[in-house]
Amino acid sequence: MSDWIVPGLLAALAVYLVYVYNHLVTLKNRYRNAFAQIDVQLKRRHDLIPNLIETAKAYLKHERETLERVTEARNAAAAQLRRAEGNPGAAAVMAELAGAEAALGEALGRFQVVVEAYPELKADQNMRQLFEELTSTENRIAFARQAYNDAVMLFNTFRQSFPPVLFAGLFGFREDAAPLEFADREAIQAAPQVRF
Amino acid sequence: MDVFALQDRARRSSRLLVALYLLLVVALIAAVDQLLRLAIGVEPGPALRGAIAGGLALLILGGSLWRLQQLRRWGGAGVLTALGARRVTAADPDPLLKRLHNVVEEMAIAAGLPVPAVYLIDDSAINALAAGFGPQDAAIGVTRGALELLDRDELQGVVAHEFAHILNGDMRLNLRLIGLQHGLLMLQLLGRHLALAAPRARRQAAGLYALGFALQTLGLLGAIAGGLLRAAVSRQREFLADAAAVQFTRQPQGIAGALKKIGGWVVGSRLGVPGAQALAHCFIAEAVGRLSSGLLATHPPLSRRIRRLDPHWDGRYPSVQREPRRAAAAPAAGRRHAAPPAPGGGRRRPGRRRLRRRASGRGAPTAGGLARNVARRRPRPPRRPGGDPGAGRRSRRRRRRPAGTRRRHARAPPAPALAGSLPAYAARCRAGNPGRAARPRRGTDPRRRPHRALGMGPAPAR
Repeated sequence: MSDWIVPGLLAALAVYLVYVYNHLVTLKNRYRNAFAQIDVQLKRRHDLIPNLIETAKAYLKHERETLERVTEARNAAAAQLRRAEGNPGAAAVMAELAGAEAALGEALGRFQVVVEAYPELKADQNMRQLFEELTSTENRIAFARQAYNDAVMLFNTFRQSFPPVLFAGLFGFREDAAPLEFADREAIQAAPQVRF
Repeated sequence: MDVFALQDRARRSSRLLVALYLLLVVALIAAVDQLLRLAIGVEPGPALRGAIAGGLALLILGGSLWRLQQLRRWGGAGVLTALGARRVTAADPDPLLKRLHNVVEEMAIAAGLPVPAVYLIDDSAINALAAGFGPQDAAIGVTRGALELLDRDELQGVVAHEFAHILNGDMRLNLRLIGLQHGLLMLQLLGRHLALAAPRARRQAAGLYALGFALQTLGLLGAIAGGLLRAAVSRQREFLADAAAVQFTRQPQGIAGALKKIGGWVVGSRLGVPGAQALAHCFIAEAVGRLSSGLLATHPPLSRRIRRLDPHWDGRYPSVQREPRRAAAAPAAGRRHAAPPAPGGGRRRPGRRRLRRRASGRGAPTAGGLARNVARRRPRPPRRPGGDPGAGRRSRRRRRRPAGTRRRHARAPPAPALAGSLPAYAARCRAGNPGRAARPRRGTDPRRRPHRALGMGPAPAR
């Protein structure tokens, strides 16, 4: 009877270790896949912007600066995305990508304000379609980020919980994955200033 | 959000349901066992009792499986085509349809599911449905009314709700329940055959007749219990889907706003498309007028759903009107349905008369916009050739057709675009309809038959 206890326990431990390892791999692949989804949508936005600028150029002859800023931000974000693709989940690269995308979002926001001032441009059929595409793409990015952050959260929670935390390092899962955060975090955390 | 936990919960409740259903079957068989002794007055031996119980169980389970096999043919795309919906692709030039397709793709990302086929249901009601057996063959249909009256966020909420149905496997569960309910109805059919066979068998004729009658009653009671079970499940699933819609979109205003608009829109969510009843549970809100509240409702009351999403709601529905651009396109035709709701805060739901008018004016859906859609409800074809023109305006009770004329010949032919799909659908409905298949009874109103009232068969295909 007692002869079986030690081998039995060892076998149970082995089964458990296999489970921990496999689950870590599953969760890691899930967040990598979630990142790939964001990647697709970010690229979609980057591809959309040249069309937008082309259509707007005809109407916005006096707004060259705004258009150039959008193009620059777009190119910077595209470069960051290429860097991040090689290494999703790394905190530093994610932060830079989030920053570049936020800058692009800001430039696009300013561009949209400018478009508001040109009724003919707003009414342009092509422009309306591009704006619908842009809205949809922004939503997709938001949802893909949401899915990515959820996947990262599941991975981190499992990795940090006990007992997997004892073995995660052993298996090569030493670091937490980094969720995509608000680039304008400081602005959100700063208390709103009310002046009378 | 852990969608996998959600799915696990859905599976657990399905298992509970199947257990409840089996309990119901056992209770019915026990009741029949008791009945046999009372009706015939003989005490059957244990072997005979076992054989009868086994036979009944086989009958019920066989009926369920047979019906399920039939329902399996309804893939996601097939159901929507049968409803007269048309496929929407990403390349659609219509900006509204393009927006719909974009919203569906967005929600697919949020829900982590493959992008389903997207369909447009040409109806002025605000409604949407998900069909199919699982994420792989799922299809989502949205009415034109929803496209034109809801803003982007609300449309997103509606589509997210449908995605929740797909993710939770609600369509599959409900088809299973329809199959199981049909099995219970087999008992009633058996009873009817026994009762009809009774006079021919001289001896024990009275006992056999009584037995048949009692079996019919029992089977009916079982089917009613099954129907209540199914409706109760469906209602719970709606709350679950609303909650999941909020999870996907991360904001409750979208779906809550859409539900409020359904409450404020004169047509509401009731479809004028035939065949909507069998699918009533897949829609976002009540799709058929009958039994829209109480124990047999497939959806919880709108106000309760809205309150769960928006606790500070003041109980008032917005008055929903079509965009002026669209209204101008058909100034005369749209007047009746585009009229703002009656004074009194816009709370009035479409009344019985208005619904009846909708019901009587329903024809085959045509390709066209909301304006045309509303317009087609107005001119009613005469009920029979040469009938008096006022006939259409009378109430349903008085419009009962004269003896000898059959409704099928009297009604206007369906629109050519659907000539291929709708009759096929109607034929399928008839094939899958136990009452009609067993013994067509002339002169009875098909709407009065119990299995229809239970929502088992599709609405009468006209």
